[in-house]
Amino acid sequence: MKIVAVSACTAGIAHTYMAQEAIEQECKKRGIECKVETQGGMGIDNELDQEEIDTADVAIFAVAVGIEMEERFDEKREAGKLIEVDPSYAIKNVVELIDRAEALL
Amino acid sequence: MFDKKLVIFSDKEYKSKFDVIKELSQLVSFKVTNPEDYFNSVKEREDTLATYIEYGVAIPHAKTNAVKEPFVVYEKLANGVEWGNNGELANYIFMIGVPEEFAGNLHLKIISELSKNLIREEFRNKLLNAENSNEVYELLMVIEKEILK
Repeated sequence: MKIVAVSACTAGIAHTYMAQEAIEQECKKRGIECKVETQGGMGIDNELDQEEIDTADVAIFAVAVGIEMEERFDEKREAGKLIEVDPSYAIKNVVELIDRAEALL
Repeated sequence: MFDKKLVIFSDKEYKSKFDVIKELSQLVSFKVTNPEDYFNSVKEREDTLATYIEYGVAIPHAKTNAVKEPFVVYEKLANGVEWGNNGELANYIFMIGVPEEFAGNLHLKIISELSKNLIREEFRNKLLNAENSNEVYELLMVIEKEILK
């Protein structure tokens, strides 16, 4: 299984990187391949290209603001394979979040 | 940027988060041109959006010319102070100061490394449960290395 995610928060710093870390950690624990792009105060890091998104099983938005290049995920959204949550939800309920992602398989 | 002198354990009862920030601003007077100016910048940022993160941790910060060299003060409060927008109590305060002209996004780097490490349960427990400033300082030095990498 492979998950791609984008995290971005209002102030663009703490929660963005915390959500990234939380998702990466939980995926690692479960042996799930994952890549998390951050759109924060330091710009876009770990940017996902279209191929990485297309080959992923599920996409997650842990975002509290509009993100750049959201159209990359149109197909995932139409296919019902995009989960959208708030970054603080991703931090506090990451186990549940990844459960949801696995349930979409 | 971390400093053993800037790690404090306190059992004071602060009335508000601004009392905490004010006192810490005085503590770093040797790192700033003027504690009052630094305080005002931190307050302004805090008023825009509270810097409470999770786990009882708050990260008040400012990037301003009132700062001479980058620093992070850590204060562990025995008595939590209301910090978040939703009334969350903070017991662990990391107060950050970075000079305005400082190259790159040092303050963002400090905040992101600190936040990332706090997500790691083992690190978080060690840091938040540390009982003396030496223990805390050693853990913070691990973060400093990552920041300066």
